[in-house]
Amino acid sequence: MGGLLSYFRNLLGSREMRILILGLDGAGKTTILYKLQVGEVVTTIPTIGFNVEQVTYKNLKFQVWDLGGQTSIRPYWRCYYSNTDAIIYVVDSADRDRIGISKDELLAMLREEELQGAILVVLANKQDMEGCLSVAEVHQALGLEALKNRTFQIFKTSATKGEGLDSAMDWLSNALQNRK
Amino acid sequence: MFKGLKNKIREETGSDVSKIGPLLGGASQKSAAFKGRHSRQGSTSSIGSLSVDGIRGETSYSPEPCENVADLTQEDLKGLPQKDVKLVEKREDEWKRKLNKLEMEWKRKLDDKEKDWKKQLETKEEEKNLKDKSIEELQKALLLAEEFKEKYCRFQEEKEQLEGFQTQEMAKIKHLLLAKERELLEKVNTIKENSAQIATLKSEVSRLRHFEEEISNVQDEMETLRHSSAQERMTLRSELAQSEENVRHLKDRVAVLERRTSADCVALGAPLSVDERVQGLLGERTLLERRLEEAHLHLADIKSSWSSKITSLETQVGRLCRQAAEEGAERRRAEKECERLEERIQQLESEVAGAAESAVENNALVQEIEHLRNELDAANREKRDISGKMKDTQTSLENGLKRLQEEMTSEQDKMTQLQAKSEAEAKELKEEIVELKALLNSEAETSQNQIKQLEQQLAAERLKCAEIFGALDRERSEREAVVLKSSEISHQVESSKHHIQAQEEEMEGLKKRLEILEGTLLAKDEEIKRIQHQIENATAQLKEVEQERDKYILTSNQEKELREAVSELESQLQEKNKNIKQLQQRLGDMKKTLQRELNIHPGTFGGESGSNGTTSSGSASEDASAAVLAPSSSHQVSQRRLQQQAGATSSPVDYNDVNFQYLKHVLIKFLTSREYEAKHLTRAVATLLHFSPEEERLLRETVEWKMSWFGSRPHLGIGQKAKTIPPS
Repeated sequence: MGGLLSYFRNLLGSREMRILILGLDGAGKTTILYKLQVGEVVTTIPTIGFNVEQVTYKNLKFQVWDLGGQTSIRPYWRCYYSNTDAIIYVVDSADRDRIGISKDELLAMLREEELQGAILVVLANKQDMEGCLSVAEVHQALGLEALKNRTFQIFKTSATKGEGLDSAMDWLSNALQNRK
Repeated sequence: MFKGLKNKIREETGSDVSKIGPLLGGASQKSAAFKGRHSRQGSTSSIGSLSVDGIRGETSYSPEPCENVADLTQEDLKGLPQKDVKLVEKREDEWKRKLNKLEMEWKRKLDDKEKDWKKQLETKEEEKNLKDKSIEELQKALLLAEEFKEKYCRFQEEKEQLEGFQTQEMAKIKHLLLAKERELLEKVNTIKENSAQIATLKSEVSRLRHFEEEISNVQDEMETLRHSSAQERMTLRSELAQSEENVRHLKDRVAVLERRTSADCVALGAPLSVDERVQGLLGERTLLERRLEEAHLHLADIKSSWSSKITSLETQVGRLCRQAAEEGAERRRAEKECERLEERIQQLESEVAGAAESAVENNALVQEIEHLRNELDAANREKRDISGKMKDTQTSLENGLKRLQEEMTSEQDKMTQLQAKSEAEAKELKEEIVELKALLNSEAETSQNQIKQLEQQLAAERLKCAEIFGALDRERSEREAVVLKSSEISHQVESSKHHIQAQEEEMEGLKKRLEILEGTLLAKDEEIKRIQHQIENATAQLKEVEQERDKYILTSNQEKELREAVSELESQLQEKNKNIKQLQQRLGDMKKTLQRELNIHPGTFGGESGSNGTTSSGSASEDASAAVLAPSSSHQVSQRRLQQQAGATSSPVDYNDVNFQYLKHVLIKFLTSREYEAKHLTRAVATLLHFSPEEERLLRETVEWKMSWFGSRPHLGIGQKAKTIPPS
């Protein structure tokens, strides 16, 4: 039955965009996902596994996969890479100690063959925290200036206050439409 | 009872009690003590009966020491003094201790042996397991081999089928080819026949060409004949016309002469009167005079034409005179103008003189004067020109007048000449009339002769005419015959033409047929080529199929080799795993023994510190039970050990582990999600559960099969090795 529905959906065009939200544990991925879907800040628990939600933004349908970011389950990210249109990489701007790990994970992810065509959006999250890294600092810390052959953009966001997410989604939907 | 005991002892010691008895025969006390021990052991309750049967036993001691030892000892005990009893008891204790020691040793030995046996048993079991495993492997290998055999058989069958198909196709193609060749042969034969027909027709045509030439010759002849006949006809007609003209002329003459001759005849018959003759002559004269008048009339006509001409010339002269008069008036007018201009010049000069004061005006006037002078000059020049022209015209007019006057004079001369001429002519005519009068007389004579001659001539002419008509008729008939002939010939020609046309049409038809046949031939050639192409393609496909088969065989060989290598490696791995297991078992054993020893040591210490007898007896009873239950207990132990090993190898599952939680979460999502999401989760599930690539492929294909409307269910194996529940 589900196959039938999805088949009809495919028939009607408007293929859902498949977007992955990745990042270290505690970066705010789940909060961002539900902020995008419901528009509210929900209380979350550490995701051991993943969350999938249907997000409609400006008549564009996205199937957003929020994958748990704990160290032991990060290797399983690569199981979800196939057929991905875009990646939202969330960085905890206040976590100065683990920004290096975040960079390593990002670079490892971008080396994957299956993600060569995917658009990258980096969200420097938790900008409302005191003593956090600025966007420029996050940009530098992640080594994004060395990134070539990749459509990407960095945004400063605060998931709890809902700042910067709209502009990021605007850019992403434009980029996805232009790519077609 | 004793026998049982003895047997037990025999079992334990391996030697008979009766043999021990004689060994200890020298020292009866020892034996007694020994026996006592036995009695103690056998029944401790018989102490009371020691005193009763003590002496009786001593008497019958030596002959049968083994028969009833207890009785003996009892008798001994009864019989012996207290000291001895004590001594005996001591001895007994010593013996007991010794016995205990011995028993302990035996037990130890037994235990050792038991352990050895157990070890041997275990090793044997392991060997058995190994062998079982190897047997299983071999069976698997056998199954694989059978599968391969089946595959090979199938493959061979397929190959044979393919070969059969190929041969069939080849046969078909050959059949087709043969049919085509037959058709071709037929076509070639028909073409040959057609070409033969064409050759015969060509020969006929060449034969007929000769006739054509003849026909053309005949036609030419006919035309020439026609031409000549026409010419002859024309000449004859002209001759006829000439003769007719002649005849008419002659008839006229004859009529005139006849009149005269009739007159003559009349005169001949009766002498003609002079008056009649004069009258005839007068008639002739009037005729001639009429002619003269006609000539006069002609002359008058000429004169009138001349006079009209003269009048026209006179009118011309008059017009010229008028022109001259007009020119003279013009000249006069020009002269007047000249005078007027001269007067004006004088006037202007006077004005110039008057206006000599102003230099500028003067100049202008001078210029004007010059201009006027120029104009005057031009006018004078014009005047001169006009006067010149006038003079010219006057002279020309005068000339014309002179010429006209001359012409008039010449005309008048001509007129006089003509009058003279006419007068001369009249004279001549009069003379002629006279001559004619003279002639008439002579002619009257000759005319009769002439008439006769003419009549004769006429007859001759008539005869000629008749002859000519006959000739004409003949010619006509000839011509008709010729025409008939020619028509016949033309008919023949037409028929032959028709024939030729028909033949040509036939030829064309044959040519068309030939072309069609050639076209069909070409088509057939093309078909043959196509078929050859197909054959080539088929052979190429065959080759490809064969190559693929070879490849497949190669790959299957490689597969076999690889599988063998894999099985070898797996067997090695299993062996190694077994080694590891063994080592782990040993380690576990060591650990257990260590723990047991650690647990036992404190206990034994405590037991040793406690009363010796009770512990010894307890341990003895335990040992006894252990001795009885030895195999089962060992089995239990081994089972426990195996469980522990299993626990050790599969590393006890920590249900709070992140990985396990993750697996649980992903599996639940996978099982509850739609196929669309499930498709994306297959990789994760496969990774988490360490699926083999084949299993992962199977899972993915199954999900895709569920998603799609159509398509076949993926192959999931048959029988025991099936990965899924077969569809009902």
